Amino acid sequence: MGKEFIDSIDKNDTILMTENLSVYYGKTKAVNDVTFNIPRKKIVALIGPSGCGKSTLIRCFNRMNDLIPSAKVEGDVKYNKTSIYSDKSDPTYIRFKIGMVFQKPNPFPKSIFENVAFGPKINGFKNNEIESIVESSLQQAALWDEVKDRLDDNGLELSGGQQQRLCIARALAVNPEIILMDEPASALDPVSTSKLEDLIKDLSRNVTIVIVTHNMQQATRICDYAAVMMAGQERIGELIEYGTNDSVFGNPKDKRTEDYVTGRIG
Amino acid sequence: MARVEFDQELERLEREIKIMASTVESSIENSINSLLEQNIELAKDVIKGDDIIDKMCDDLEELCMSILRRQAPLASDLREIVSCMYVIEELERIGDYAEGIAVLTIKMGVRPLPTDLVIIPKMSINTVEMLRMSTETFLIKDPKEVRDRFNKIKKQDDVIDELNSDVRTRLIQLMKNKPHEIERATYLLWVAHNLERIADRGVNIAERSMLLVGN
Repeated sequence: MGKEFIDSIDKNDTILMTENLSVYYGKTKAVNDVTFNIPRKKIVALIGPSGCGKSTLIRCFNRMNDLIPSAKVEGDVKYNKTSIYSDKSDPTYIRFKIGMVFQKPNPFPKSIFENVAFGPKINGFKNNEIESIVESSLQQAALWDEVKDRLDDNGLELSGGQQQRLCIARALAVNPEIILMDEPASALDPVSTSKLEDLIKDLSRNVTIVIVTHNMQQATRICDYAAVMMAGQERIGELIEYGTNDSVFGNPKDKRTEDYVTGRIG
Repeated sequence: MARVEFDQELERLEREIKIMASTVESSIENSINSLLEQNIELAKDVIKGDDIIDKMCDDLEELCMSILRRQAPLASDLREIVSCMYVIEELERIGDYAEGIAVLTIKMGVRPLPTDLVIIPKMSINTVEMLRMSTETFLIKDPKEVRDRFNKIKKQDDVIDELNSDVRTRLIQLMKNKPHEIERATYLLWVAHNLERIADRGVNIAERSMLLVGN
């Protein structure tokens, strides 16, 4: 039975429940028995040293690990109290509602407009609706003012920071409830990083954000809650602490968290 | 071992806080000695010496800011640096109280003191001893030892409060009996008040130590 953290998160406010989640790649166990709840419209940072299973864990939240043939998931993840791993659940729907932004911006080699319109088109929206969705998504992603006069330009012509915000706009266009971000700022310069952090804070008024980051200062600046992972013996990742920003970065309970956030291990 | 430079800077900060604390303790002792010996020159030295304490405060605050800026500490490291800044500020204010006593000494002049000052030196010895224990405690990391010392410091503060109350009663009586000494008796009331405030700030430093070890 996984260790439980933070009793204070109201179950009714929980959007994602991770229950005794373990992940294997072939016979190798990568993540062991993780149980924790992610509250609605909050920013949760997943932190921990390299190789502790953060990316593996975050990829379980929208079944991205399904795409890896050797990956096997035990336990459960419940989105709005419904298992995302049940036979009835549709991975495509899950990935619309739980979007993902990766470390390296990955716009499609299409126009800015087409990048954002892609999801709504698949969902059968009409052209006039799509235009409005594209505009509002780009506005939410704080990119509209920079691209409104060049929507036909190729998305790959944008700067790295703009490309990352384009990917966020693309995720927002299908009206997600959660956006997962796997080191979204690691390839960005400080100004782009700062804009992205402002955007993440802003988005969290409407969307839940789960972000993997190696940048401790970034996690401190933006997250409401932090989940700390660490590879234990046999290099299997475990959740060792989960708490509020003040608790994890101010007065952590676990000595390993203390050593990690103060830069003494990892 | 990671963060060697940070740990070295922390050690340097602690070392310099010890030096500042010791300078402040000497300043209190000298201010009281100047009063008891009616040594105006010594009082003037204390007043001049406060500039050195102020400079130490500025330098140490700058060192803390520099560590915060460059090392971006978190968790216990962050609490320690912020606590150091707080303690430095407390020591600087204690230095001001010692300077205040020296100023009062000069105001008292070299005429024979209006009363024997048995209690004030006693208060002073207790206060310096307690302040020393507080600053030493601040640099101790063992929670149990910090807790034990904190309890002793609190008790010592109660003793100093009682001594202050005693001084006040005696000086008020003196003012009633010798109205022509009201002015100098009032100065002595301020001396006792300053010692009592120094003790309170010593308690503040000890409370910081308790927070640092997670109590």
